[in-house]
Amino acid sequence: MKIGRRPLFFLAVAAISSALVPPTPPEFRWVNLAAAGLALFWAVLLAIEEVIARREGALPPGVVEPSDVFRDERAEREEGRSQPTPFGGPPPPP
Amino acid sequence: MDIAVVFIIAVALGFDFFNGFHDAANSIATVVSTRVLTPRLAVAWAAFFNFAAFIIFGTAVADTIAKDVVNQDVLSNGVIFAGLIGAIAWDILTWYAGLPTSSSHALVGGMAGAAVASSGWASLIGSGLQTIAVFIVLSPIVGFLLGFSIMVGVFWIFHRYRNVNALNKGFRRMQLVSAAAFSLGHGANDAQKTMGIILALLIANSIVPPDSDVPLWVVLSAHTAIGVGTLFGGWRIVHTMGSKITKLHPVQGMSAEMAAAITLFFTSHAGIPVSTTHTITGAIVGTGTTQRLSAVRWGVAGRVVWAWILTIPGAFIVAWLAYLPIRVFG
Repeated sequence: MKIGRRPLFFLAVAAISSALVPPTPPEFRWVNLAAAGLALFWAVLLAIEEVIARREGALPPGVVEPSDVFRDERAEREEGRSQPTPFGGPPPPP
Repeated sequence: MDIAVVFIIAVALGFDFFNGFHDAANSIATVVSTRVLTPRLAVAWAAFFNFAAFIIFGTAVADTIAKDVVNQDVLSNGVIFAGLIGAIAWDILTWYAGLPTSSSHALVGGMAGAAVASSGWASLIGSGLQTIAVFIVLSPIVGFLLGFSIMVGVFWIFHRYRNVNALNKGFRRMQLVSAAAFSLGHGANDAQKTMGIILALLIANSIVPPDSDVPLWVVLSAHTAIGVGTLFGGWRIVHTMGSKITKLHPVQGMSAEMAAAITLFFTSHAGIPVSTTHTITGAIVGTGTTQRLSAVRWGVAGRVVWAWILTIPGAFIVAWLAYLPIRVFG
């Protein structure tokens, strides 16, 4: 079964967090373990979501595209006045 | 107090001022881009909470910088000055090259380089440097995971809610809280690094005992310097960018700032100096990943990784070189 890029990305994050456990001081190792656990959790959930979506040929029922729910109309009206910041989203379409 | 000590304190506070100046964009960009606050109000808001951080957080990060990077018996005016010069020069070099460098890591690398030039590798404290090195990688990862988790949590809670305008209004108000929280975290973690340098200087000159806490005047002056730096840096952004900042959804800005703030609160409390820029970058990547991986500007993320790799060795070498004339003529 082919796994999508997002679950693999989270698996990589979990692997990096786990790999950092040995050099981390013992009192902070819980941070690595919590991060690895959380990344693994999201990797599994995202993989399940992809499998469901692929089986049904669409997003699972009840799932709404976030960009639709949180579309910020006020900001969109003023979109003409935008320019990128060092960490902003992709630039607006021309 | 010796004139040399006063001069080095002024240089350290100058470094703190430019830290606030440089990082002002991180604190105010999302509230300005989502039109929650006007640029003027956003700058004042961030500067106030940068300063107010001293009331809430202790000085654990300052203690780490002063006592856990370099052995105290090798600290001298020359070592601290060369360390600062290394950090400042590296910051300017990378700013010119367009690398998103971390002033915090540059400071650690600079102190280490100057100490090695003065007294050899044995002057470094391995355990302290190891903790800092691990959290260079871990803090953006934690920011990323928290940013993603908060965004997904918000989606789960509100995905059936259809009154989008009311929802966005609520998130806009929440952004005031999240921007304040991020500014608090920024002020706490970054101002304390300068406090650590000044504390090390005071210990090296026997002005305070080696086990001393950070004096209140040092705390206040460091927070004032970073707050004023934010104020001036923000004004520069107002003048050069105005309101022409990339559109972000209020929910994304709020989630990213909350995720970064939580990470900075933890690291400030635990006494771990981390990069606030890298932490907020990780959190923004996390919120972007909820849509799709291609929604993230991976070029920026890649440059952060380069900054991870280069900053400490780069500042180390510059500070090492800066110490050589001090050793010859000092």
